[in-house]
Amino acid sequence: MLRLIINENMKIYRRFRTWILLVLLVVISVGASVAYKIETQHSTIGWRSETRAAIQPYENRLKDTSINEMLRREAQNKLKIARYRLKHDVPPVSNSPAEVVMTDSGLIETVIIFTIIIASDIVSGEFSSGTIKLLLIRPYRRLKILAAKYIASVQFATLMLGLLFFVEYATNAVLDGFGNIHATDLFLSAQGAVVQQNILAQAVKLFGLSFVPLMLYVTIAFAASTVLRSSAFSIGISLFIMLIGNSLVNLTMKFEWMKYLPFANSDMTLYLNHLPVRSDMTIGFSVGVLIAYIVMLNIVSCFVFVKRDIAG
Amino acid sequence: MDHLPVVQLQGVTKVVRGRVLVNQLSFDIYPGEVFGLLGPNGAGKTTTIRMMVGLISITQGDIKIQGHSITRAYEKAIGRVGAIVENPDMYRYLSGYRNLIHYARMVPGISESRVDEIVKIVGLENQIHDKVRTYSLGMRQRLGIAQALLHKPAFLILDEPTNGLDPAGIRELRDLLRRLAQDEDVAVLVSSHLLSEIEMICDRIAILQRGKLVLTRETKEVVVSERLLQVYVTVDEVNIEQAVQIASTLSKSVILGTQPGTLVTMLTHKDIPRLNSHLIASGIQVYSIQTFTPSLEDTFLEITEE
Repeated sequence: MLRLIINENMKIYRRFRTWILLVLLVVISVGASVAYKIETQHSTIGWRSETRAAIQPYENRLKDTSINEMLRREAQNKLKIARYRLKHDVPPVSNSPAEVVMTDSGLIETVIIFTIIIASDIVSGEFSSGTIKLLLIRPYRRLKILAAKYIASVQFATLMLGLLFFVEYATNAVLDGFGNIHATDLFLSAQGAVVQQNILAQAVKLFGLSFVPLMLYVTIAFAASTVLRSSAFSIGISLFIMLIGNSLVNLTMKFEWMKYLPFANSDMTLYLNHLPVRSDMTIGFSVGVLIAYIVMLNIVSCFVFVKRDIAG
Repeated sequence: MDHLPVVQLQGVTKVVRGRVLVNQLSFDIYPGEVFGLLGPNGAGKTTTIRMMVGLISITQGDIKIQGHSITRAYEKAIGRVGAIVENPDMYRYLSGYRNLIHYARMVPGISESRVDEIVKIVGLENQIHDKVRTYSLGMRQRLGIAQALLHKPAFLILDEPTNGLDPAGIRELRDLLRRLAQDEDVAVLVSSHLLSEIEMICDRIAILQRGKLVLTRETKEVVVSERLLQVYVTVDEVNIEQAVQIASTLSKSVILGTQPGTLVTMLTHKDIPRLNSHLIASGIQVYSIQTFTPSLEDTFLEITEE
């Protein structure tokens, strides 16, 4: 089994395409960190005045009754933290690479897209090149060959996610210094209380949780690749699901049954910012729903792959 | 043929969406034998091969390799099989060497020296580290044969192996297969739609047509058979009637030829000199006796033409 996984990794990393993706991710991570650095000029008015100045727009937003629920709750959260900060005299952290990593966590979507590209091709590529025939006539059950491919896809996803974290952290450390890894900042707990938490730990938690939706997209792309045998088609479908999913979050607030779909459960940053899509949804619920989909899709992949006639 | 067959096909049938692609196919292949599977395109050769290596399911019947059923004991059955199915499709973005390493990893106990050895056998030493993308069809065919031989199979399947090979390459392939069959007792199955190319490679040939086995035959049998041969006889025009009478004593079918003084008859090999001596004994002048041996090619065309 280990030999099969080594083979699948060889087929991923001995391709020029893969290295383009890896280099691109590094470039994007470094670029985002540099952009962030340029954008956030340290003001001279001091953090207290700055925080007070930031409160005003959020209060205005709350007065507007037409804004959507998500934006309203976000404003409430920001106000809560800002007021707490002023009342208890907690200055914001000035240089923490982990904080930038959290702020730029939207880049995880890049990891998802790049991983979709690899996972979409890993099975269908064997079909389109005809190599599936020579691959399957070896003394291994098809299930093992498929499992090796899945594991290699998951390894690639993990590598990408780790690379994003590492490169962003390192870039910011170079630009701004390492800061204090024990630095804390104010966050909202699941119950909505303001708490001081270690920033690095929060960043690691965010990335750790984001691994679950990343796995979901790996699994969607992998299943599409296995069932449809066309990498272009499965990249298309996976990206479509990803994009449509983001726009379904608002609908999920209205319809309870939609919380059982994978879409509203795919953004873990919402939980860390105390913005659950529905009040009856928790991290545990979302992780559970996603794992259920991952398991179901994998059952479909296995079934189709094992039963299929390899002809033509 | 005193050993047990390496491969046994037992009433193998494949039906896809109501269409019968392979119909009740049964034959055995023995160690040390080169077996040719012939048939026009679409006759079911590749379908049969795909069933033999478990790429597609068998609708009815069973295939056993060294006694293990390909459907019920796949890993055991396929372990000693080496194959090229249809085209020698390789990973184009990898070098030939990496392709071989890839397949070597899938069978325990293949050393790097075995990989080097096989590269020499197929004559790819100079290009083995180039990307397969740059290979010609002939080179890919050689690489395909290399991956099929890596694990010293007991049963080797080559689907249209002469595709893309030049005459020298075909000759080399023939020598290689001969050597494998004779020295290592490998059973070899070679498929082709071109009879001329495998007639000389194979010991035995099966002809498939529309999924059915129409003929199996030893290739050497054709030359020394006891079958009736078509014989053209030319005698002096005056005595042709008498010659026909004499020929009729040896054969049931005698007809006059299109040229004056000729007749066409069907005789067994040993009756040809007898006819000659009878004719001469009756004072008939014999100008020529020609036999027309229907080659396998003719049989093949005759069978496969509508």
